[in-house]
Amino acid sequence: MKPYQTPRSAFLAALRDFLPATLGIIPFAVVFGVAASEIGISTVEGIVMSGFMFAGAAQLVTVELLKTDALAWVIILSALVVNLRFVIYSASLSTYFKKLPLLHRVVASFFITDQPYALSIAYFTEYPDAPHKFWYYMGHCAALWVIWVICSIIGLVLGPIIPESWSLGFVIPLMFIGLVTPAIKNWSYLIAACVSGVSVIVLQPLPNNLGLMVAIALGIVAGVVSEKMR
Amino acid sequence: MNLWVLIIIIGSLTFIGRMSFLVLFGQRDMPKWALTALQYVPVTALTALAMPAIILNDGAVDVSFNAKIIAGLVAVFIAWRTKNLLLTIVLGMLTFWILTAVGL
Repeated sequence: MKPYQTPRSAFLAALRDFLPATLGIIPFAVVFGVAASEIGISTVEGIVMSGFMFAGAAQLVTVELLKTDALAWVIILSALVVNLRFVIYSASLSTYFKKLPLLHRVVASFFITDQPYALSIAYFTEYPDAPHKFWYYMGHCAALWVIWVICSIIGLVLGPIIPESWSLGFVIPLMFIGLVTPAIKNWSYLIAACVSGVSVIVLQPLPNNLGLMVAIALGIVAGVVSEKMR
Repeated sequence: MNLWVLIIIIGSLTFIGRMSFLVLFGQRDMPKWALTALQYVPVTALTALAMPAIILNDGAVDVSFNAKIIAGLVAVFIAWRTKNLLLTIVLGMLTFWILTAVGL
């Protein structure tokens, strides 16, 4: 019965509520594992990336840029830029978790990711007075972490078996398209995406993938400016 | 740089970002300008990462009628109409394989 009244029931309910999200998570993790193994990342390294970085888009960015021999700081910065959204989630979750002990807040932080955040916030806004919000959130996080690591391992093991002629690497840009397109909610976002996408091609001659950083910055500025002008 | 060092740096800095408001900045609210700018990060970053993989061919711009561009456009259309990540990838990849098989 919602809202869940005990930590245990909240945690278990979240494990169940997370099920539909696994449909998107499983192929994502497998793709990461396959892509990582294809550029020579070992199974152990891949597992640590999934378990510790625990950020699909940033993991794929790292793999994609390692392929192009980008400079280390460009890879680090690109991965962090992709993970900047977690700062927003951190700010948003802090309004619900501010009375929690420090250790709980540190643990909650470690697992901040898209789906557990989105699913938990939906529950929190529907039941603002629900007890044990932390445990409901942690149920989603636990489900995601376990599935994410296991499916990454499957991908890392399968990778070397899959023939190169399948060009599975092309899944990465397709996945980025699948993530970006629904996020374009209005004209400002469309302008930001177009400016960023055109800039990255025009600036491609810049050394060490520097164009990537500049293109993202230009896109953000274009988005903010067009929003102000409306 | 060693991959292990890279993983530890990215992982740690990501963790610090995740802790930013929940642990580090206490109860402070995020400044409004930062919030506005941050909203555009996922869209601009992922577009900038996807475009070269679609448009560039061995480092050169190639906007001809080729398998990667058509599959990319199919993916954009599916993602726009269905918002379904899995379907976007499956149909995009199928398009790519079919077009490659017929020699495009």
